Amino acid sequence: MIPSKRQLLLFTAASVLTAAIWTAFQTQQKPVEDSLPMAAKVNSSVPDIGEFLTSLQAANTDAERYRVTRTLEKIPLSQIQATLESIPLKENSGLTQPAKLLLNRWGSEDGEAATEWAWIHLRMKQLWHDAFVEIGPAWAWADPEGLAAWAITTQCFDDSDDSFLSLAKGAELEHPVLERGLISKIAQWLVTDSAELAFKVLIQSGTLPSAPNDIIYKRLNRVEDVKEALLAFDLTKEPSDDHIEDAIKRLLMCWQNIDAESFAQSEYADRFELPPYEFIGSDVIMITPPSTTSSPTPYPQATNWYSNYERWKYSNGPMPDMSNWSAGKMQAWEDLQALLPESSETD
Amino acid sequence: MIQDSDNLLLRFHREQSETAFRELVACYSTLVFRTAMRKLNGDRAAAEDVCQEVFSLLAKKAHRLRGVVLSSWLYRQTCRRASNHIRTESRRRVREKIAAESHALNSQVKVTPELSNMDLDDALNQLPTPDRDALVLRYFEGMDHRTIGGILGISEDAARKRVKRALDRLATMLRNDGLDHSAAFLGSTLAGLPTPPLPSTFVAQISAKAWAGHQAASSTLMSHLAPIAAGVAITSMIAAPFTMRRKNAVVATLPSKPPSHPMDLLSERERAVVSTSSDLLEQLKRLNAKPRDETTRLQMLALTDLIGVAGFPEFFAAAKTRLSQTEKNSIYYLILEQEMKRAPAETMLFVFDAKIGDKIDSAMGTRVIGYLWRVWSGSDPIASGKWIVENWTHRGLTKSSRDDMVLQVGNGLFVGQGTSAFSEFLAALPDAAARERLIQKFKDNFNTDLGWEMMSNQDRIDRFVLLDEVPVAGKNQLKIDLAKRWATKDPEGILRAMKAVSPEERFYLTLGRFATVYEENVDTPMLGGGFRTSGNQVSDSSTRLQQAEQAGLDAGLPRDAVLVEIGRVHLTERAAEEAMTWFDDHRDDANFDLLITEKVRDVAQFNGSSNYVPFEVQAIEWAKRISDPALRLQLSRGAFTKLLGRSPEEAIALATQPGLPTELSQAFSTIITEFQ
Repeated sequence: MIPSKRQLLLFTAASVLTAAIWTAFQTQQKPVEDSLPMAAKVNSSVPDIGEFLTSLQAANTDAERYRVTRTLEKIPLSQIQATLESIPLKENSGLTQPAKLLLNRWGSEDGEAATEWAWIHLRMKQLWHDAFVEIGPAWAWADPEGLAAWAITTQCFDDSDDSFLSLAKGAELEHPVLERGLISKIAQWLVTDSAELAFKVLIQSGTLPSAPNDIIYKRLNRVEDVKEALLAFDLTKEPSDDHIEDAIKRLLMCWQNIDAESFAQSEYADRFELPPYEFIGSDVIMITPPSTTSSPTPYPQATNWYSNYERWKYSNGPMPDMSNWSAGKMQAWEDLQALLPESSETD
Repeated sequence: MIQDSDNLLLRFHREQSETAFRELVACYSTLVFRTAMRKLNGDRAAAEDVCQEVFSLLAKKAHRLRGVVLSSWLYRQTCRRASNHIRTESRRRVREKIAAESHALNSQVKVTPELSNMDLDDALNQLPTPDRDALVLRYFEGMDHRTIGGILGISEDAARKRVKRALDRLATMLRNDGLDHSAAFLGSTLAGLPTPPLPSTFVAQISAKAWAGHQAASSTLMSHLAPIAAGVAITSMIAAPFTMRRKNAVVATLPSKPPSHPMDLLSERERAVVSTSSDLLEQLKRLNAKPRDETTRLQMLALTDLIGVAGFPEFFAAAKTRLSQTEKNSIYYLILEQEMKRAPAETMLFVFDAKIGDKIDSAMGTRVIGYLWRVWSGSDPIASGKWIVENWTHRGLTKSSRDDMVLQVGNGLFVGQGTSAFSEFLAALPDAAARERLIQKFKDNFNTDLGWEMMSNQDRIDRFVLLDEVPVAGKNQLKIDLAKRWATKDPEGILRAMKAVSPEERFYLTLGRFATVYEENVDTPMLGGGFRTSGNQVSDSSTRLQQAEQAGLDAGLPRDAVLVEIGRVHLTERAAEEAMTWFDDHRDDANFDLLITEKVRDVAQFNGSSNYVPFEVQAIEWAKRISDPALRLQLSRGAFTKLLGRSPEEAIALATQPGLPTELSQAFSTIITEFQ
């Protein structure tokens, strides 16, 4: 069979292209080999951070980025700090992705050292929060007890006028200080592993949430979680203040919502009187009981008549039968209608 | 049957047997056609197109389908492709026309008054694959339990149980969607689904077309590939020996080229683990249990890359029962957000088709969808606007959620594209009531939704001027609101803007400055990033008032018109006492009756009191400043009647108050007597 012109063209093009690829393959190899630093030759498992940054920048999908970032696992713990100090840290107003990933690794290996470093090197760049929210989760997962102990002993910034530190105030402090928002985050990171530790941190730092729908309660989805959270409280004594009592009651509401039967059989069912409430999804709504006291009104005719008017107003129904009404009542009706807003605009 | 279809598939793939392919089409065309007819509400032309697409796809993918329950696979593909057809506007019109013309076909749309074929197919597609396989074999292929067991590799008894379990699950799913039917009812419904007659020539046509397409694709590919492969092979045979000598020295240092498919980027172990939706789900669950840092987020994103919108039905069906509510809240959000970046229109459609909002918890679902839509409409208001118009009648969209979505698009267009784009979108909305609601919402939310504070000063100037072109009523008040916000957040910026606009616009900017009581002028950098702004009370209100009056006159407005606009600011922005004094001072300079009447009605609609003064008493204080005696008296009487009905003690106290004008004192006494 004689090949067509098109087939010949494709054959030639494929041959030329393949030859070019082989040539390029050969020429690229030599410079790479020659330019390898001695350290890399000795310890080829330590990734070249420049190459890593280039590859990360070139990655187009999250899967590719994830693959590239796995090379960071090869950086020894002792070299993370030096690596962080050699790469760009700030991008727009946040941390760069390589910095975040390195802080994740450092946080999982030595959270306290990573935190100290971030406080010293990143707070004046306004990157302290960004850094801690990368270190903290990794630390909580790797060493929850360590993070909880550190959080409990670390100074908590608690200004009644302000729950956030200004940069100027932060600059004066040598060691990390935890604002209320960060303590709440620590508790959320810890609760996935240990509800007890999470609540211990909140109790010790005096930052138990006052809102009944705080996210920390929504993380407790099993009776075991609630029981574990209760271990953080000293239930052998009466609650020391309203915050503690509210938190215990809120936990018990969670329990009752998850499994009313086991709650009813628990020692807490009779011990704590829970306020009336209702759960909608994971949100709790406190129910205000209707007032039972009412005094007689001095003008019952006026109040009844006006109530009827209100009902008519909201029902959009037909006009009431006014055939037996006095002129005064007809006038009053018209006067009330004159108060209704007009829908048209004035300009 | 599965063995038969496996054999046919194998013959077709290995031997390129047209006969085998024809047999496959003959076996399954009834199933495919009737499913398509059902999904497309009896649109035969569309159903035929879908059949063609499905069998063409079968020709392409045959080599991957061995061991799969082919009828179930074909059923799913048919549903998917029919859904795609439904989404095309022109198709919808054709279907609607057909539906209107044919009562007979209409009767096929509903299985029962409550349960439509669409619901049934949707739910069936959400079942786990083994359950769906069992139901398709039992009810669409009419097989007995023994045959089903044979195909699925289980006993007859197990097959019976699986069919029952699948019906139970189907019933539960439908119940979650508010359709309460027993499993037995669903079984008989599935068995009794209509089977429209399949034209005899149709099977032959489908086979021929699909086969021709397959052959064309194969031959084109092969004819291109053969010379290429030869070229590569021969050249490589020559080049390789030269190059491979160096292999050992350098290959370890070369960065490996990242493969293109995300799945290829994962390790062998990971690939094995995430090979099914179910395993992927387990991976995501595990990662979701960890506190979320960047590494975990990236890992989760890398996994969600594997799903894609085409894999959503299977994934969400598996997730439905295997994820807790909290896990759903977090994982669904991540997946949807990820896919919105790649295929926003398809993702949004899936969200509403599958009612994903209801599957997260209701409040969270609304927030998630709202956020996804806000991001899309903010970044691409044109595409999102097109989407909402095309999907206007989608059953998953409530009127209020649609209105909110429309507003987001309107805002996005106004900020990003300008007024003409906004007006075009307005005109494209399918009904007049929706247009009215958009205009009203746009006005109500304009100053909060548009990111006014984040805009550059020049952008604010441009938008402020453009506002005149938008068909929004009540624009004067809107301009004052915006200028006030501007003056509060960027006191220097508004001063610069005053030099750059027309005299009339300048008048409204001066009114906004006069309305401002507080100016933010200090930015304190915070440790956690960003700035905290603080400011001072405005101390030169009287100068600003004079500037506003002068700016109005400079704009060529008559003095009384200027004073009415200043009066409007007094009524809405200044303390009542200060405002009343101003109105008293200017009683003879302009007619403020319209403005004050509006204020009286505004105040009187509330119950209760502010600063211990009942709202009705405040309304009467304002009414006293109306110049028309009849209107003044009527509004005062109305407010008093309301107070008497709501709080008689306070009404009596007001009626006996010293210093009350005689006309009011008499009118109030008459009312009290009337209701005694």
